[in-house]
Amino acid sequence: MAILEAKNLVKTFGGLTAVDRLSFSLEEGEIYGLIGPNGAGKTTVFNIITRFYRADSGQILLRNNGQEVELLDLKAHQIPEKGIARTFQNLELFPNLSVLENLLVGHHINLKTNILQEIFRLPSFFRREEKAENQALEMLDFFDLLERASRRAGSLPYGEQKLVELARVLMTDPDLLLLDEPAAGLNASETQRLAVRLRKIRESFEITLFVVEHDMDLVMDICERICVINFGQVVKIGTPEEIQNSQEVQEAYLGGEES
Amino acid sequence: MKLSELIRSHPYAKYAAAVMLFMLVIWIDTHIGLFSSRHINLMIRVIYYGIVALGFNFLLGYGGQISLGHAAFMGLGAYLTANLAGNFQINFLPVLLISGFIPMVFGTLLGLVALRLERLYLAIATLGLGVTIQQVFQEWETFTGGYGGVRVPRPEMFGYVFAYSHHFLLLISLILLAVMILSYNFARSRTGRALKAMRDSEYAARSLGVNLVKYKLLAFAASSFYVGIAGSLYAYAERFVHPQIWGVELSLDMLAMVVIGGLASIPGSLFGAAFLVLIPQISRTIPLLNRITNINFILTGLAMIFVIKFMPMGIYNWLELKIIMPIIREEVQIEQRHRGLGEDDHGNPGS
Repeated sequence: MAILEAKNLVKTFGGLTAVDRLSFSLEEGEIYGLIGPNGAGKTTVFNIITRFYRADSGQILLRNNGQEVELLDLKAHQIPEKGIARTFQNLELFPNLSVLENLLVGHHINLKTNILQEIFRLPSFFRREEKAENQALEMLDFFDLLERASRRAGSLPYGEQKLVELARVLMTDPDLLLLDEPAAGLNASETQRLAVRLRKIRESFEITLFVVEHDMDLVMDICERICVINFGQVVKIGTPEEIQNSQEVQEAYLGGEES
Repeated sequence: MKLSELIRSHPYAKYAAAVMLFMLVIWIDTHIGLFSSRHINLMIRVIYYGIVALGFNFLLGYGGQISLGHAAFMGLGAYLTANLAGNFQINFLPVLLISGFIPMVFGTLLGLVALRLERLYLAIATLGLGVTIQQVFQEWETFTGGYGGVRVPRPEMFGYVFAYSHHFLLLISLILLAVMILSYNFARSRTGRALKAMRDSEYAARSLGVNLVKYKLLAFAASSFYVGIAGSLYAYAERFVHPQIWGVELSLDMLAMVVIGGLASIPGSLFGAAFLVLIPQISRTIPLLNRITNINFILTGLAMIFVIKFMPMGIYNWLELKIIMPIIREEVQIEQRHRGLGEDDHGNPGS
């Protein structure tokens, strides 16, 4: 059963059609890649799913925990509650918050304290806050970032900031994680370690990964299925081998005879 | 050192220590009479402007929103107090709360504007609202007494009338302590973190499920509540409210307090307020400078430029980082050497 199913998505910016009748679906538990040349509309797809953009038409169904939800009816801040979380192409950390605070903001939707409990520090506040903090520390431990907990997030080196963003988004307890160029700005060995870590994340947290990436080695290495898009339309969907041997895909990247 | 360890381990102790200083002044005043009533009134002014700065910090320092109309909410709090206490003889505490709640409602309405506007545009829109409300204060004579102003009776609580300014200083210091502690609790919680997250990156906050509409409105509501309460305390302290001071200059002073004292810093708010209150007093005593009209605005402007350039975290955080922390750390180290501890195993904040 598909966890996410997009049907005939259309998104135009003025006269430009960024996403053009795009349909695809993700199976539960797989690592699914979305690739394509620059400007193909990959990030636009992510922004539509997470409701940062309003799609012109189409449907996105989320089947999760026995429920079926039409994502396009929701507001952006309701998306994480449904089990979808994302990272950003250009890091979007909270640079002036500590690493621990960044993770606690990630836990925002799962931490159920209200203002009265907070300002009067009722016992329930301490119980819930402590539980959240322990969970955040465990998460930092998973990413080998424990000794960075009290550092200002903006002061960490770039590679570690990317890990903090991953740790933070996992604190929302997602079922489907959208990763927008997780390897951007990483060197070859860091990218290899990222591949190992992404597989480990999938196993440990039992989630589905949806990856937009330019680094072909990483995509071919970790993805079980790949969707290639160009000018907002599907070029081909298939396994890494099928994609690598596809004539259409090569044309999309290198330019074909006609079109 | 026991005291420094206590202050370091719990922020409430820091606030209590600050308030104890005010108490000490009261004690000295009643027993020795070192301070004149002018000094006492200055300290009262530092405290109610401190509450203003705390409120404004929730808007600017935590929430990342701006308003140049908050002076109007302080004025609203002051006039409400003048009317409720003067015409209806209501007690101090209910008056204080009502003078906070009604500006809070207006502040939330202003927050609805903030949902549509950002930065400069938001500043201009709120400025417009502030000027409009000030005009209303000048014209609505039944409520405000117009240009003539309105008198405020002495604060009365449980049948006791605060007839001496040092008794009122005692009361207002305790209110400050309560407000600081509640502010700390608010800032160090899910809600406070959501505000700071919204300030740092609206995109990321939204993607993690932070409802921006709710938290923007909350920032405006909380700040107007504080400012309204401070307006009420202003009315009780000065015992006269006139429409002239609720203008743009006061809103800009609020901004300056927060920037100079420290963005998103609770003790910093108090520092900023003290700075803005004391500048006119100090510049008045310096020859030559006191001949220049508007010297206070010039000095405030220079201070803001200096702080933004050299200590962007504000005066208080700069002092704590560069002056107080090294002293405390040294004390701890010396003490440990006496105890024969080789190294710091108390989880001293490293680097």
